[in-house]
Amino acid sequence: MMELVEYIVRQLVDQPDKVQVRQLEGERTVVIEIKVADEDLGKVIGRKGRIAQAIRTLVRAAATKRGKKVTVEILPPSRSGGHTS
Amino acid sequence: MKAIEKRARTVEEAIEAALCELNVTRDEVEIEVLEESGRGRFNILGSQQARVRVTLKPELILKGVVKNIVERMGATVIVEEPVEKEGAFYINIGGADAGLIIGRNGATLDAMQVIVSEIVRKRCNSSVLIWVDADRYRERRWEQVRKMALEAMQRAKAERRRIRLYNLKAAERRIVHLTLQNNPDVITYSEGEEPNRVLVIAPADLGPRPTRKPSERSQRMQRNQQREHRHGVSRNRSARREQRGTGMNLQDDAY
Repeated sequence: MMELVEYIVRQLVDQPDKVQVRQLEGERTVVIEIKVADEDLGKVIGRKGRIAQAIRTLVRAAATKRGKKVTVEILPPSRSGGHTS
Repeated sequence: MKAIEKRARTVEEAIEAALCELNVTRDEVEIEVLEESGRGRFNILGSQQARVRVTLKPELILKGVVKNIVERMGATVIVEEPVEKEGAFYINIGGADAGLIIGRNGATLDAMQVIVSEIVRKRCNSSVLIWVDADRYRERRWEQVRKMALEAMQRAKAERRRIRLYNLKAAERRIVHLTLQNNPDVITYSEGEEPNRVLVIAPADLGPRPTRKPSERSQRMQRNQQREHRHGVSRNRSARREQRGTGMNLQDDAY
């Protein structure tokens, strides 16, 4: 599932090398975190969150095959000016 | 479509340079070899360079993107060849997991289409209309909507009243408008806002329903906004932006 998100996000942004995708696995839930360059945030979210919503829908469909509940989170820009953990 | 020409010592090098410049892979382009490399015709020193033309093919990019996505979704499907019709590229996904790709009411399919369109647009640097389908769900649905439109028209005429079609997506409402646009007996329009926008088919002599006076609530909201505006307060900025946004969102509201 992480590969799905990573592929989509890398294709959408201008700076694919700044894309970081993390998967936090719980017992029944999975959280996928997306971090992109600040300038690319709009590309991943889209107008009225259209793209972000579409990514979530696709991931949810993929997750039904695995029987887990997945949430996708797009991390806000870091305040320190692009420094990511 | 976007095409570039490249010269290099060998054909292979020229292709490589072109692919690199377009930032694509070999299966996303059409390659024509314009001149082979080799010695010049008179065997002169400084042999002839190879020359190739590499053309970006949206349909090939489209297929690649769809394949990459369904593969990473873990879906067992067959991605068919894209076909061009009416200025759009249509691609169908078949196979055992087509139902998974469709989703409830085609929701997953719509999501796939949003993302695939965006990626292809970015890769081709130009806007291309794309329809992603699975198990020919969209084609069947469109046919159904066309039939619904004709039936509703018959009823509107026979019963001399406005017939409303609920739960249509923007693209489906568009199909109804197009199906009935050349019919002088009825007019079609939509009323209400997403997600409760409703398509109306009215007998031509009856015309559209006169627009209601704005409700008290919407009048109050409008007053509040004006007041805020005067005071330069932007407490409700997001709400207002959204309102502006709706007017421009052709996809949802134009039909």
